[in-house]
Amino acid sequence: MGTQGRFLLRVVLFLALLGIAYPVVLVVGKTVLPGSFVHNVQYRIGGYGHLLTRLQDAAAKGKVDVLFTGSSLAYRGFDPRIWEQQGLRAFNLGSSGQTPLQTEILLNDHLARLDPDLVIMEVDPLYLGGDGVESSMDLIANRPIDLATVRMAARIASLKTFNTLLYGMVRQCSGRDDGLMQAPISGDDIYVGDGFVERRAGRFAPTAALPQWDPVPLQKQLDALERILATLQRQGRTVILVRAPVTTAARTSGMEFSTWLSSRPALRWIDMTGKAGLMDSVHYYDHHHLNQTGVERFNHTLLDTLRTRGWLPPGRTISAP
Amino acid sequence: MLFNSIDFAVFLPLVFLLYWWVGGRSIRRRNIILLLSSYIFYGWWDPRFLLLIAFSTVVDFAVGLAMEGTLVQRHRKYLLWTSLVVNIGLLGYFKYANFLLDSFVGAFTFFGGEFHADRLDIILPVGISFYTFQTLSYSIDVYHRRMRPISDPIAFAAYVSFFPQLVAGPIERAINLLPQFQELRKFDTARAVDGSRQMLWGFFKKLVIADNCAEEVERIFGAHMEMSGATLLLGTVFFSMQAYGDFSGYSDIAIGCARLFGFNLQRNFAYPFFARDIAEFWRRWHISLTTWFRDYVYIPMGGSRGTKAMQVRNISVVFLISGLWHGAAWHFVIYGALNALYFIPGVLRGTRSKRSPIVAQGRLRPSLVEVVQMGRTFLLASLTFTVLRAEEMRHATEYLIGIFDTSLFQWPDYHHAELPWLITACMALEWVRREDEHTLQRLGNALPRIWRWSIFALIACTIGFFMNTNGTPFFYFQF
Repeated sequence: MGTQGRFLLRVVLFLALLGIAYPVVLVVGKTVLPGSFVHNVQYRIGGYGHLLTRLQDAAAKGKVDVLFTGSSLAYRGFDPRIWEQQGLRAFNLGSSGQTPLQTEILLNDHLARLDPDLVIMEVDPLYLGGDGVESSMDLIANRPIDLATVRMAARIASLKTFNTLLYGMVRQCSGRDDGLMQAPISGDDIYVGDGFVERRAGRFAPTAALPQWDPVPLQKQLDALERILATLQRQGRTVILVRAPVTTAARTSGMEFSTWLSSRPALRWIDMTGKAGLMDSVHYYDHHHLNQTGVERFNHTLLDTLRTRGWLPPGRTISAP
Repeated sequence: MLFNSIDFAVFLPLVFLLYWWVGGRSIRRRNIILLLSSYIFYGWWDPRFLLLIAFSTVVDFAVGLAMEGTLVQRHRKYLLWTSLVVNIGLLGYFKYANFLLDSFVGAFTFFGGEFHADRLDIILPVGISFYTFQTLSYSIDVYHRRMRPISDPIAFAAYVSFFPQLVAGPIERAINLLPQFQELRKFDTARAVDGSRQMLWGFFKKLVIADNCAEEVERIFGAHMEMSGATLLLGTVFFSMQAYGDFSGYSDIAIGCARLFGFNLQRNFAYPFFARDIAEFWRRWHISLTTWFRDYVYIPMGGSRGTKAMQVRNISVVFLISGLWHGAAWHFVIYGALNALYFIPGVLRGTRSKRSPIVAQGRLRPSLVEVVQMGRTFLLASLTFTVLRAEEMRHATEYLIGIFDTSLFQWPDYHHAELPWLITACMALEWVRREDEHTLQRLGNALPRIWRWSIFALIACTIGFFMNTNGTPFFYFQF
């Protein structure tokens, strides 16, 4: 071994030391430093959207007719209570900023048990164009870390996700998260069950104009979406992609996504933006989320649309809880 | 290819292995490996620009050989002009064509004429300002017979495109770097270790300091009319730290990386924020550019010889060109002019500093006078940097006026709560190590290896913990 070889050996030894030191520094740093100092480890139990409770509920739930997935537009938009009134048992498996990379994991966890006839995937070009970092950290903090989580982190390839994963591993191994429960009310949000988060906020007065841009879907997100669609198709489940409504200012053209869609004519797709007579100042509480009045209007319109097209699974008589 | 990318993390070890093992003891084989690696590194951005760098290489190589082949001074002068016209012509076209067009249209309109011209659709090739100056130094030095022209085209092409310093310097002189391509580099563990340390510190400055500052700077400069004076002032400090962290960080990575391959590049930054006056600041900031202008513009114009008026003219010309080198817009020229303005009083006084070359040399604590001098220089440099960061002169003026407001005494608004602490820690460590070539050069040398390594591991961990993950490109690439 020449001098170069010995130098390389020293580099490898140093990297090994770094490999040991890094998780220690990460855990100590996250524990000791104020939250405002730490941006690269985001381990939030419950997250912003009651994910811990939602996943606990999903684990205890049996067969449903309809399953929703997607971002906060889904878990704040598709209200299972309204679908229940139509004789359809539904569950909402959305999570903050959820992209297909996270949907894939959640479906792997819960699809067999929930066994839905219809899966409604909320799909927005905004999230398909995102790397899914925020949502990945939400998932890491609120579900047991396993090989699928590691695979997702590798696909996202973000330092924030890796750091949170490392921190989460240490934390979950130490048992600090065991038996944690989340309060159903958090600020203006109420977790009402079956995965749905309700906000009975007043009217929205849009002030700031949003930057106009057309998100380009990332290939890794489209690949994950393709894998999900293939799995659901193989299992004989009906899938409908829905673009949930947002305010006029928040709409993006989604040209690239439209091109992707047009290459799959067999796919069932409904664009609900600008539909259901939703008004920015009356039916939203911010640019992306409906208030409860808006939610009711949106869900009824979507149900009517699905019924008209014959895409709804047969309803059933629901026994009293 | 960016230094702060996964691509480079794979690329560097691969090239290292190829260079030392496949390259063997053949100078030519090693140069071929470096040349190919450098072209891959540069072509990663846009392979089309490889033609440009290849063209520049061919022209200067041919010019050098042709100069050697003639004894007629007039012919040598023609050849030098060929090199100048080609290199400055390319730089002028890619960097300054639209600026000249806009200025021409502006002047025409100012005098009442009506003239419209569409801007040219030109993409600025990364690093063109850096490698153009590097190739020019070769032609000029050969012309002045400071060095013999090289006859090995591979070594010359590898010198022009040497990937560690290709896109953002240090701007190397042929007289320093080219001979290193003609001799057999021996692997020196101490040098490689030193290079690795320098790279580590460079990454810290870039990823932790510069990139986090960049986010604050973007927010503050982007909405400067809505910010308090205190926030605007903090914005200038953040921008100074961004520019320093970004550019000196790049230089540290470049110099450290070159050391892994057995090359010594020149120092580019020498703790400029510990300078006691503007003249000293410019001896410590972007040293390779400052000395390039000194040797190839200032001294040929007469330098500090001649009357005071001539000296003032020479200084002014150098700073104006230096400003324009930073970018093709009038506010860059004004940036240069302001620096000349700070410099000229010292020239007129004609005083020569008798101070030690390093502030508070041999002492940990500076005197009160030194603190005031450093603070004044830093403030002046930071306020001037505002002109460099602004999109146009009007923007800079509004920004600077906005600082001097009663809101200057409010608590500033910033989002990265950790940033002032990180900057303080960075500057404190630099202060303690300011007598060394670079900050980590001798850090922990007196300690057992495990403790020394723990310190470096802690710095690496700090990078992972605090680095900005939004991947800001190196600021100086735009130059």
